[in-house]
Amino acid sequence: MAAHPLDQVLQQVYVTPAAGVLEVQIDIVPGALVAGAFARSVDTDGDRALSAGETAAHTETLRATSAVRVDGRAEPLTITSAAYPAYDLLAAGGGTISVRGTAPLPAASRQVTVRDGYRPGQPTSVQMSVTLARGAALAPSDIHHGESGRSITVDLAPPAVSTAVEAPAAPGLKDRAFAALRSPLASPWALLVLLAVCALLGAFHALTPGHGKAMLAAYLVGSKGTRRQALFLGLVITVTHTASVVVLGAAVLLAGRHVLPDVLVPSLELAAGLIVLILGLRVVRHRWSHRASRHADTHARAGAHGHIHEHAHTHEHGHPHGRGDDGHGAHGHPHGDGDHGHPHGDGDHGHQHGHHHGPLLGRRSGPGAGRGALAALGVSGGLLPCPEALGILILAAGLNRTALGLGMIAAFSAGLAAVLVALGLVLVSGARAIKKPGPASLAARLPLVSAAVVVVLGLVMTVSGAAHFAEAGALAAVIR
Amino acid sequence: MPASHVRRLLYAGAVSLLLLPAGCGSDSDDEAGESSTATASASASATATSSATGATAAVLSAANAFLATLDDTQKTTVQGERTTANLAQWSNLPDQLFERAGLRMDKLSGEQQAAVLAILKAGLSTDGYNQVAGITTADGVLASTATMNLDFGADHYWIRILGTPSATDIWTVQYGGHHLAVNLTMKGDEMTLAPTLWGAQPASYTESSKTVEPLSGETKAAFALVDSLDATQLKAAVLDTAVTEIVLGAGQDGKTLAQEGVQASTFTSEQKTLLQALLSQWITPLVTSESSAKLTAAMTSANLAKTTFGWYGSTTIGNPIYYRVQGPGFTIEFAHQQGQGANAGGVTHIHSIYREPDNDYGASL
Repeated sequence: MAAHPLDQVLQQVYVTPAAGVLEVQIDIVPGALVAGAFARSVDTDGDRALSAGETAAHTETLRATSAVRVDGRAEPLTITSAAYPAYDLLAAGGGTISVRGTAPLPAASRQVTVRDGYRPGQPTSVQMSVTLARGAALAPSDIHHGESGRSITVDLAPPAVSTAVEAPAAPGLKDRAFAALRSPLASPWALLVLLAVCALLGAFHALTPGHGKAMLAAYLVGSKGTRRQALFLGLVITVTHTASVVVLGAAVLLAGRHVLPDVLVPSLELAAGLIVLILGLRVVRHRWSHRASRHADTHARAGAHGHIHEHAHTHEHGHPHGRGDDGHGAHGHPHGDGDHGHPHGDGDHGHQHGHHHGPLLGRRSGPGAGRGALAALGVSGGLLPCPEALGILILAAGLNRTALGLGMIAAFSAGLAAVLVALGLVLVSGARAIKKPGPASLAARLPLVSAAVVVVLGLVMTVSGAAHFAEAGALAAVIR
Repeated sequence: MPASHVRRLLYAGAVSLLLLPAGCGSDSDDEAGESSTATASASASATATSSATGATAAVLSAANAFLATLDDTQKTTVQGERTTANLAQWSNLPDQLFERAGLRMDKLSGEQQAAVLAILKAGLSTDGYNQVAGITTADGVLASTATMNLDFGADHYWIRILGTPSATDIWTVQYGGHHLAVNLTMKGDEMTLAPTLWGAQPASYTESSKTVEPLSGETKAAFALVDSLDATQLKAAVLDTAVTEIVLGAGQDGKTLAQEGVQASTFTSEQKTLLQALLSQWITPLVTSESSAKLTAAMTSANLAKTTFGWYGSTTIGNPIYYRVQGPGFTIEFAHQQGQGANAGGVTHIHSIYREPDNDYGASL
């Protein structure tokens, strides 16, 4: 309700990224010197009153001349409310027209552009501003105005990384990466630095929650996996993670509104959860069914335990191919470990052999034990894409720098892989250090406990994915 | 330390990292952090609230004294419920274009007018009170010279009390009219002046052979700060499109602007001093005993790290400008009215607003 400047129709446009939707509020404030002519342009029948039909027609003009683009694709603006003052007040320069609308804003969105193309017959100025919504999944990280104020482009990021709110003294790695995408690279060295920054970003990102680390930990600890397994699992997670970013990014860019990331991502989460849950249940079943038979070999296991350590290290460094069909022949310790003395049908048996005798993955007959099962776990761990990596790809595509974006994601993934593999290796080495003989030891209980952890993780992922999927579905129904 | 112990420690560390909660890049930690901060802040505020003392007690006393001068009809007219709609019923517009509520000064007796001004004196600093007087006097100057008078003037200002004046409960005094909307909210011994609209037209005039400039401090301090910026800072400060009117004026309660402009964290100590001088112009119109803590809080390094300064227009004083200062505890906007025609005025016509995100009308008191 500010009627200045007096000789212009002022349009104040408020753009608010909220949960699932972009809110747009257009306030039209005609200055006193032009208010009469403006009011007459709305009062099309000239009866000095604004009928429902006249205001509806004006609102439709506003909607039709406005444009919303989310990550480069056009989104419809749905009018949710429109308030018009009485004609006399509007004509005197004391009234404000306020029209509000929303457009879909998927949680993975990284940029919105709103354009106000409404041109009444009077001189007009447009001020577009971004306001913050409580509980929004996205916050503005950068704001650009264009077309003499008629358009506004807002880069979006999860609230925690919003530079506008957090205002860090120095830009973070992610901000540098995003900024570098927008600026031409000065030299090949700049490209190397950029890729190094991305790799570092990936390394740091691997330490944040997620990325299958808990699953990786539970599995490797329980199976007392080999270093090769740790490497394999880490790489599968990383490759899957990278591929999911590329595929989802491509889907968003190419299929536009038909593929909503906020529906697709929960679907992936649900699928990953089910994979982990099913594999976890199978591993539990097999470890439980063989637990009783292991008791019969308790003494043998205890007696042989020292050998296991010794041979495990010796083997990995000096005898990578010296295994028999079941891994016992080469070293002559058929009952050398409580978890390794039952070569038939044990879900994690293949890994136990691998622990001692190299890459036995894929040689086991039991379900969930082979390289395929390990790969499935790795895939489930990497299936959910990082918003950061997805953002880099979408922004790169939007700036016609897709190749650079892919290179940055590859570097990001390399950093991610390095950390995951390193952690896996530490885990494998450390697990051996704490092994102790005896049926009541942690080592003896670890396989079943870790399998149970995998099941719980799978259950949590499945329930969470289902909940998010339901939420996204409900949201999609509301905003369409 | 034995090697086996080192390995166990390493292992324990790795497991701790690996067993972090699932969720790719989850923000939950940060959100929880913010929530905790907010909760702690609210809790601290709640425990700090007590009965009116000092300035709030003085405002309470002055308000009761004013009410005592009114007849029953006037009391009913001047008092209202502290509803969202009532709190938002203010504007920069003159009376012909905006319907206000309460009692207008020109309808009050001299004693009653003095009692109203006593409320303002109790809640405002000397500079704050003089600013109110300078703005209302300017409106009288405008009324005497304007070719288009839309029912404004030096005594066309309204007093309204929302909520029951209390030593413990929240209540608000509104005083406003054309180019002025003071919202003074009290709860216990705490007080806020947000939101308050400060306008001026003419922004400079002569009264008793003295030049009066109601918002000259807010103008000069801003030019001093922008003049101190280096090229990089200035580039960051200048908004990329024209802004000619305040964005969060009347009718825009509850909105929080995304920040734009140069980060105060990049300021030198000299620039921070200039920023403090500018913020002082906006925060210290509130009575000193209440505003000093706000100004101190605004200048902590933690809050400066989240403070920005945006600018549009020439950096040479005397030219029309728009500027914005945003921090965790305040949003400030200042706009010269740059249109053409009657009453436009450029540098002689100012609209500005002081808000406190999350604490307008004492929402956090």
